[in-house]
Amino acid sequence: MNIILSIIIPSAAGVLIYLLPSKFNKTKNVLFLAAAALNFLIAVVFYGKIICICDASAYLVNLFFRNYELNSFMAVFLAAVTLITSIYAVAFMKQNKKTQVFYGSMLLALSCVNGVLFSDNFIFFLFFWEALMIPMFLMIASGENKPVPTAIKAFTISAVADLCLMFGVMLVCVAGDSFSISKGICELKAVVPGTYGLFTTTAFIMLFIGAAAKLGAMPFHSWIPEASAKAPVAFMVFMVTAVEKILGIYLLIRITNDFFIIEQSSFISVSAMTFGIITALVANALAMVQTDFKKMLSYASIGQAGFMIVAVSTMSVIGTVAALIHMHAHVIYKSGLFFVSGNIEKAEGSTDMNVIKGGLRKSMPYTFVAFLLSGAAFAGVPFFYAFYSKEMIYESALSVHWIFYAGLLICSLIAIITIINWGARLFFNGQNNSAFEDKEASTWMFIPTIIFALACALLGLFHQVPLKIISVVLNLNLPETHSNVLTVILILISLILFILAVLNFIKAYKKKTDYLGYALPAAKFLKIDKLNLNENLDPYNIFISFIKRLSKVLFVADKALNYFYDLVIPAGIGEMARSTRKAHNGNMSVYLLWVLIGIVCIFIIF
Amino acid sequence: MFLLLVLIPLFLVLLLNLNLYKVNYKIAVLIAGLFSLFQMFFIFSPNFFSTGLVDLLSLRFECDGISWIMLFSIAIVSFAAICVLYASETIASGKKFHFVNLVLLALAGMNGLVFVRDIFSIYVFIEIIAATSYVLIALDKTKKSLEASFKYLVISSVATVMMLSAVAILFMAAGSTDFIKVAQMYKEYGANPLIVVASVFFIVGLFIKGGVMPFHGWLPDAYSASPNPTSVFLAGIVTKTTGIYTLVRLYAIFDFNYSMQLVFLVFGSLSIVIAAIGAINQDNFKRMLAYSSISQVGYIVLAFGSGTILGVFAGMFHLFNHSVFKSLLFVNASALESRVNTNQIHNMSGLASRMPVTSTTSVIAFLSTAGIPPLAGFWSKLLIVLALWFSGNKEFAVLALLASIFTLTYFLIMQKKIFFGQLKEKFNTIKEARFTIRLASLFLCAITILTGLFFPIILNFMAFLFSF
Repeated sequence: MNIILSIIIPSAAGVLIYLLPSKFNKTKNVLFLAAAALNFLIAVVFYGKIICICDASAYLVNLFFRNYELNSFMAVFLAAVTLITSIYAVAFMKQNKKTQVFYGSMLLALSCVNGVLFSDNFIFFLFFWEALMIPMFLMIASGENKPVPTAIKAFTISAVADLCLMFGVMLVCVAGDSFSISKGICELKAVVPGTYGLFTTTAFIMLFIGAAAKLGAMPFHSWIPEASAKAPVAFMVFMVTAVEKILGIYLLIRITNDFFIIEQSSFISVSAMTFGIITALVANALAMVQTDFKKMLSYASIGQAGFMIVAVSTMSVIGTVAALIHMHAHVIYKSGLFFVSGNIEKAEGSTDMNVIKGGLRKSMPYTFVAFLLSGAAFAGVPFFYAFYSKEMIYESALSVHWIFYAGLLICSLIAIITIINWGARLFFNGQNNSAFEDKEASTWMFIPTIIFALACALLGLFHQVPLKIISVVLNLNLPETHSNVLTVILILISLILFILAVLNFIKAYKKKTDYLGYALPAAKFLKIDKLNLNENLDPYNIFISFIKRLSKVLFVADKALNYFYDLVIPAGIGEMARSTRKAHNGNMSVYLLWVLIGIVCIFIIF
Repeated sequence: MFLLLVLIPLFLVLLLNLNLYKVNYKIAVLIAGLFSLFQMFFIFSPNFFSTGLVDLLSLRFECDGISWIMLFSIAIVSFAAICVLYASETIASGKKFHFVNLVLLALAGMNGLVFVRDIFSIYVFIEIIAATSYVLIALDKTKKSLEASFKYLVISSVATVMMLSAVAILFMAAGSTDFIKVAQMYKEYGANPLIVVASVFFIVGLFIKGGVMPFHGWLPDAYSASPNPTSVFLAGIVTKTTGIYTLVRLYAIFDFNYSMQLVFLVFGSLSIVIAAIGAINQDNFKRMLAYSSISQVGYIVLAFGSGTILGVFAGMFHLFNHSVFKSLLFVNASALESRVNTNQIHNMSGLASRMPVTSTTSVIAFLSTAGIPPLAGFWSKLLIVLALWFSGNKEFAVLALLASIFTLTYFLIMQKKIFFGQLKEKFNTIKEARFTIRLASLFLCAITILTGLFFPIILNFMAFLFSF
């Protein structure tokens, strides 16, 4: 028994679900839930334990896999989210005809993620990382409203980013002279401590792109909002919110903490932070102008990826811890919000504000409570989980330069305005108030929703527990020297931010049009709304358009090259094959002559 | 306890030929099939390894993890060959009876070979297997099979002479043929020119038996001209046991120096590349498989050439995988021949619609041969490449990777021409092969898939076996 079971069991169950005939729907549901539960159990039982059961297997198995605190923590967290999401998926997708594909793919994806987390060999790491694209494609494709183009888009974008990652891994392997992740890292650190030659810089950038793209950072983000409209909610929770963030942060922490030694405020650090802050600003601004709740959550998710990138890129202890805690908090509150969106979608048939009339607080009271708790964490309300992680990120950003701190504050202000606007429009905007009708989600949809919502509040109240666990996981001690006065000032500034957002809401509430207040004219002035609608500005479309033009040029070159390949290479190999065949003419004296030649050659070598 | 696997087949041969009862070929086939299954399950018994070492008639017999892998491969391939034999319509009943006897004798020889621990006994068991193989190849007495058997006999005799000379020299030097004493002698006198000559002779002998290039001349004829069950048996396990397994044993005895490593690397690479190119232009399905066999044997030899324990491990794993998927391809060749009465690829087309089991299992087998994930062949080739890379033979690792393209090429050509495309009108009425052939195909195919999917467990288990 060992942790490899967490790779085998989900994949075996996934394959079985694919193969089961469609009439065994209940069996599939049970198998799906059982596999998710078993995976959780395995992750908990083997938390941080040595991988091998017998000494004999240690030699080879340890070549490929490793189990230690960080990946164990990630695996347990993912297993928990998967289990809760699987319950929601079974309840949400009752009528969906493609549940078989979705369940099977979700389990295969889980298996791949576990594979990535436990791999201690770059080849295995890449194998599982790349394999993840297939279940991701299938999960999006199992959605409704022509999801295949979106699935292709997601696949293409991931593939481009993964190519960069592959190149980066190749460079790291060359530098470390090993495929072993742990061994290679040690040697790489020893070879290039704190130096930024072209080789090291390229390796870092390539790996960073791979990790940032997995997090959904810009410009690798554009498939996420599209997928939110077409893929099932469970996909958004499992893949976009949990898997992508967990893997992205895992790799980012490995890169900045283990693979490279990078000084704080160095050029690389500041560049990465700038990249993160731009992602956060643009994505939060785009989230604000959305009319679809799920799309808003998707853009907000991209924005939070920017927060995490900024935190890790500070190259400080507090930044790294903050990034991991924020990832943890983000997965919890965003999952809660996505489930809220799923409940609304089930009740109203849409999450688009142009379709929903609002006033859902009476028809969906429990969902409303879940929204309040998760939304409070999203906004960073004090005593909710994300509040502490955001404060830590602010502090780490400020330690590099105040401009990053200011950028993050603006992002937070936009996020608070956005979530207040959505809360008011979905649950209060009273057109539905008179016609009360119970549309509350089913019990099995509500339980996962409230679990995440309560977790936002409880983990906020007892935030010292996750903080301690994460410090142990990262093997890092938070500096105790930081100023308490500074912390108080930062908290006060955050509170002022809230007051500003609330004042803005009060101002907007009087107008009774929308609740964005001064933020909307500002967005219009900056043409954020046009940026949202203009598909020509989508990096994916720009890339595809570039590729189309390039392909025209390459087509001509390819024709010439094909001529060469079609004639020269097949003719060459064909001629070699014919010669080999002729040489084997059945004449035994020839065969004996070959034996003689062979013997002579061996004697020569000796 | 493990010596039962040598004694039982010998006893069965006696029993079948005593004429106490009237035994027809069906009973003989059943007995041989049951023995293969018995061997397959017997080696899993918890006390199997407990006997450890046996001294019998002053000979040392021992069963370790490598022996176990070979026993398992032998059992699987024998079972497949027996299944094909039962379904074969071209072999007369009397000949089927003889075939069973010969297979049981060869089984006793191969099982004995994997247990013995002295070089003379190795030679003796190899000759027992070779003697049965000559007859098995020539069993249907056609001109081609007789010619193939004769070629094998003549070229094998060169191997025999060389191995016997090597045994004699080593016996003179060490005063014994026991592995331990020979190994001690190698440590002291390994550089002596006479000992070097003995080493070269032994290696050449085994290369001939294993069909490594350029000592392979007999192999394409033997595989393609022999009756179908013989092809499965020969290609699946006989040459691997006599030629390749024995190399692993000698690996531990001989002084594995740079020269020997270079020999393995060079001849392994030569086999991989040239045989793969040779396979591309073949029109005879079985002959194409024969070249593919040489190419895959090249991979195993190349793995041994890495000179590391990982290399030996990878080589043995590939040997097992190769036994399974190559047997599967030869079983499919039998299925095709039994239905379309030819092995000529250009005479076949679009058979996938009429023979779906054969077509599907063939795809699985060739994908595994070409090293496509997640099938078994991928993992063993990956381990081979890793072994070569870690041992510093990076150029050979790259070559092993690139050569897979050739493998994929000739198998794609084969698959396209035989199974895909337009079905020829004359094949409109043909049906899938007989049940026992399909059974063998599905059995081998399942092993290939499961070994690939459950690779981590297999890896653990093999690592456990290697700890012996």
